[in-house]
Formats: sequence, structure tokens, C-alpha cells
Amino acid sequence: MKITDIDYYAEYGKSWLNRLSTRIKMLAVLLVIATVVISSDIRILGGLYLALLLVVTFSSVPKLKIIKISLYPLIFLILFLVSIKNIVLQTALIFIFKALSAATSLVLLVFTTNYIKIFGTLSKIMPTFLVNVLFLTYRSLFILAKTFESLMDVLKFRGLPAIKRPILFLKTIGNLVGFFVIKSMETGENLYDAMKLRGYSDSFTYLKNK
Amino acid sequence: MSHLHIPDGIIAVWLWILGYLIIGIYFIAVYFQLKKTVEYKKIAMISVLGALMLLSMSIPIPFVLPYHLNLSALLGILTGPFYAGLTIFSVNLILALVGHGGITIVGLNTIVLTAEAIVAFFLFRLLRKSFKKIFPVAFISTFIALVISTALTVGIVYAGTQNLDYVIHKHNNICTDCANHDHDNDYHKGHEEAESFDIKRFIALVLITGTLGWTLESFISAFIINYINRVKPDLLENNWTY
Amino acid sequence: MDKIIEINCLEHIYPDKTKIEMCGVELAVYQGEKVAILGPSGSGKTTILKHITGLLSPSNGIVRVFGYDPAKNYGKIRSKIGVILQNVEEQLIGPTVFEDVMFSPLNYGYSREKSMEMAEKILSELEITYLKNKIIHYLSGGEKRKVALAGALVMSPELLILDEPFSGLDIKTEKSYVNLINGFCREKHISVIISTHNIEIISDFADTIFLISSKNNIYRKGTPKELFSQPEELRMFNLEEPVLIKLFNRLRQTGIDIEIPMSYQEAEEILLQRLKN
Repeated sequence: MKITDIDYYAEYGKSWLNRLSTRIKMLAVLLVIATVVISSDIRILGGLYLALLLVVTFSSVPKLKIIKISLYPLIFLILFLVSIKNIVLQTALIFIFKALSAATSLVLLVFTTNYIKIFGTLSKIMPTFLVNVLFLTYRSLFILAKTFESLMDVLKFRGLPAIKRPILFLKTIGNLVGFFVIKSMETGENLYDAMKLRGYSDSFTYLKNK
Repeated sequence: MSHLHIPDGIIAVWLWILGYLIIGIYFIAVYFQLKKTVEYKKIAMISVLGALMLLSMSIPIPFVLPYHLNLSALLGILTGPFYAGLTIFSVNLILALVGHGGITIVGLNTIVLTAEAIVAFFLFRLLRKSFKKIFPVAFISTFIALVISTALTVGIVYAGTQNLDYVIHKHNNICTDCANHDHDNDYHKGHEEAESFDIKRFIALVLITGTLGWTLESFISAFIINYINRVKPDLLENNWTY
Repeated sequence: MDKIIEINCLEHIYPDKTKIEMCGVELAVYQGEKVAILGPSGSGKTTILKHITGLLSPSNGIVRVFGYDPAKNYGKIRSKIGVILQNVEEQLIGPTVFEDVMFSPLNYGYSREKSMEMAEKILSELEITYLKNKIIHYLSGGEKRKVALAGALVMSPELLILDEPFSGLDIKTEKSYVNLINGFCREKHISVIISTHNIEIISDFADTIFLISSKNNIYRKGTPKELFSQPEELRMFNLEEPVLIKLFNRLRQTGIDIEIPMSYQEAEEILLQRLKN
């Protein structure tokens, strides 16, 4: 799922989680992460994951999308679990609950919280120039998204070479991404020109938290 | 395979804190470099390239297994070693927020991918002096960068999972009823062969999945760089650093 | 009237070594004047604007803005100039509309309170206060342009530079945007220089038009009435006069002695007068 789509839910979602204060949500995420890091009790971790699933179930958020995205850590986790000799079910479940709890809490956060508030809160612990990069990166996502969507449309209309011609296939992907890179660099130049014309010299004072 | 998709709660606390500390030192260096060179244009470029990486990662390459582009090596070649880390950090943080890799692992992830970008940059520069054709130069630089960053990943996973006893085996101070603990129950079958993280098995799995990934990414990066070289070669001259 | 912009025989060499020389008529913009640069694609309209904003430096020729060379001294004149670039998306930087409009005042060192006051004022003057807390990327194309205009006008500039500001807009939005710029700039005595090939808009908007040929010469200067009453010359630039003027030109060609109107209102008055007589 695209980040731009997730942002839409964060901005226009109507669940009680969307209305909950950012501070409370981020504290909750912190608590979940702390529990995941510190605890190895299957009851605690299992209970935590169950609680998160209940939150997902009883709020009008896009449930299937959230659960699908939060399952992503399992891909690497399987690799990791297979590498543990003589692993027992309990151990596997502990790791699975850790991974899924952390992922679910974060995914819930981004699905229900406007990115400005998330980065604004992070700005309390991160240096200003880093927060500026984060904000600009996020904004740039949307500027480039249109170009990106056009590229994907091109792929759809004009077709990719078949996989059975692997070199041509990879070359086509390479050319498309290469085009995208050049377009992005040009966008970066234009973005900077606009910033300079609007008085930007060395600091993003506009992004300082109130 | 070089991107650490390790979830939270697996890697030892000391290691991911160390990861953040190292990144913190790097950010201090970047801050002073920016102040000294007054090249704030790079902030805009860094951000846009970060967005590019995020968007490109959502292009699924349906090749045997669905593969997602990383582009850290390409980033290193385009931006140089110094600023690549900034882009990579912002990308990793945003990815962690959507559940791709643990939030505690962002520091370590940034180190791994920045190392990849740095290796790719220097190798590309070095090989370009000796070889005319850009495709093989780009391919080799990316491939070796990916291998090295994967090795770093394996090292981190190994270092960070040395003491998994607190999860795997409960005979430690936390055990509340150790004296009466039944050592003959099913949980303790094979107790003499305790659960342990087998690094050799992990490396084998990484090699199997990684080799295809490295090859794909290297081919695609080489084609990308080849395209850029034909259309806008000045982007590869790299006037970003120093 | 003070001359705000002066461009004479501008020469520019592009990175691919292509050279353009824009000689011919001196391009000048006076205080309070609204100037349009018209020409076919690739004639150098955007290049001229980039020289005015100091984004490009000429290899030869004179470019002066408020008496300064903008490529060398843009910092001295920056606060007097508001710019809207061709791709509006790339100049909207803030996460919300309000924060984007505050971008310039904060960068110029105004306090947060003062910047907020300035942003509130311009949003109110442009009647887009309702957009204040909206996230930029969810605005429509027309809304984004209005926000970009607010961002360009927040510092109360003396000169507004617009590069193809109407491209991609539907007719209704285009008209409302033109009226907004026209009304605001007239009220505040802001000089405007605009590059476009939308000839329908220009007749009612610009005081002076500069025609640039595909050979990159600044070929002609004149009022809309002067230029549009010579359709043969316009055709040399792949341009056609606005539909309304075309009609009246054709009537003149048939021998009818009739004025050329520059707006529908004027046309209505002329025709009503004729019909009454």
C-alpha cells in the first residue's frame, strides 16, 4: 500500500483514534515498543497483540489494510526463526507477538495521525535540520507521486517485456527508474529555486514547533 | 537483503542504542558540514531523493520472488558518501513508521545502508577511472556494495542475538519458581540441545535469498546508471561532497 | 514612472552549449504596469523570467531589476518580488496552507506572531481563509494556484512574476484566477510580468505585450489593441488573435469601420452603439 494512500486515511479518517490526541497515541506506541523490547512473557506479549487487534476491530479504521501491512515483519521473521535450532512453538510465538505488536501499533499510529503531528512531536527530540528533511521528504513524495503514477500507467498501457526476456525486462525497469531519477533531480532543483525565491537561506524557521 | 527488516524486540538493546549513537555522531558531522559549506540546496535534493527511494520501493519486480528495489547504492553514486546517510535515515524512519523494519532498528539500518552507499560510491569512482564501459562498472560497484552491506547485516544480527536466553530459555533470575521447576516436561525435552540462534543456517538462508536480490538490484542499478549516463551524464560527476 | 525591469540584448548559453540572443526591442516594465511576454514554445519566455529572478545569469547583455543585477544581488531585491513558477506543485513547501504562506515572512526574520498576522491578512484579501488549515497535497489545482499566489504576495511585493500561471486550469477557474490577480495588483499598484501563450486572457489583462519570435528576438512591443489588430504579424509567431478580436478584425476587413474591443464588455458597448444607430 502506498504511503500517499495511508496519509489520506490519517487526514480524513473518522475513527475515535483519529480524534485521539497525538501525544497519547505516541505514548501508547512507546509503551508497546518498551513492552516488546523488555518482556519475554508469552502471556504479556500475546495479550498485548490481542489488545491491539481489539483496538483495530473496534475502531472504524481500514482493518484489513492495517492488518495486512502489519504482517510484513513476518517475512524476515520467518528467516530468523528458521535459523533458531530446536525452536519450540512458545519461542516462535514470543517473537511473532513481539514483531506483530510493534508493527501493529506503528501502523495504527500512521493510519490515524496526520504526519505533521507525528513529525512535529519528533521535532522535540530530533535536530531541526533532520525534521526539515523529514517534512520535505514527505512533501516531495506527493510532488513526485504524480510522475510516478504516470510511469506506472505507462507500464500498464505499453506493457513490460515478458519475464522470459529477463535482460530486456530489467533494462526497461532500469530505464523507467532512470527517467524517474532525472525527473526527481530536476524537481529537487526546482524545489530549491522556489525555496530560495521565497527567502530561504539556511533554516526552515517555518517548521519550528509552536 | 541488506535492508534490516528485523522487527523490534529481537536485537539486543545495547546494539540498537549503539546504532542510534553512531548515527547521532554522523548527524552532528552533517550539521557542521552544512553550516560550513552553506550548501542548503542539498537539503532539497536529499529530500526529493528520499521520496524517490520510497516510491521506487513500491515497484514490485515480479522475478521468481517479488523483489523491491533498495537503491541505496545508486543513491551513494549520485549524492556521494556524506549526504547519503541523511536520505537513508529519513527513508528508514518513514518505513519503520509503516511497519517495514523495527523503529528501534532504524539506526542500525541506516548504518548498513549508508555503508552500502559509501562502498558503491568509492568503487564506482575507482572503477570508472580504469574502465570505459559504465554498465559493468555500475554492476560491479552495486553488487559488491550489496554483498558488503549484507555481511554487515549478518554481523549485526549475530552480535545482537548472542544472548537470546532471556527469550529462549527461562532458566535465569527472572524464573520465579525455579526450585520447583519441572525439568522433565515437554518444554525441556532436548534441553541438552537448547534452542540457539544458528548463524551458519542464517547465513545460508541469506545467501540463497540474497544472491538473487543482489543480482537483480545490480542489473537494474546498472541499467539506471547507463540511462542517466546517456541522458544526463553530469548527474554522475558528483559535485556533492567535500 | 520608475523603470522596474530593464532587459537589453540578453545573451544566454545553455549547458548543452545552445546559445540564444534576445535582442531587438528593449524589454522594460514600469511601476504599476502589467506586461505580458507572448511567444511560441521554446522562444525563451521562461528563460527571460529566470534571468529576472536571478536563477540564471546572462553571458552578455543587460538585466536590471530595481536597478540591480538580479543574478548577483537578488538578496537586495528579493523581498520586493513575488514569483509563481510554472509548476506550482514544486513551490508549495509547507505542510499546511497557513504554514506555506508563512514561509517567506519567517525566512525574512519576522517573528512568528507577525508572520501569522501577514499570512492571515493575505489569505483574507484573496478570500481563501477557508483553506488555511488544509493540507497542501489535497488541494485542487486551482486552490494550489491561489495558495501559491498568497505565498507570492504575502510580503507585499512591488513586482509579481508569473510563469505560465494558467496552464492546466479549466476556463472558469482560469477566469477567476485572472480576475483575482488583476484586481489585487491594480488595487495595490503591483507591477506584473507574465509569460503565457494564452492569448484570450492577455487582451483584458496586459497593458503592454512583448512578442518573442521563435528566433528568440524580442520582436515587437505594443498594447494589446496595437498588436491584435495586426493578425498577419501574430501568425508569424504561431499565434492567433483572441476570438472576439478576430471577429472584429474580419468585420473591418469587409470594409466596416469598427473599433477593435479588448473585452466582451467593450464589444457589447460597440455593438449596441452600432445597432442603435
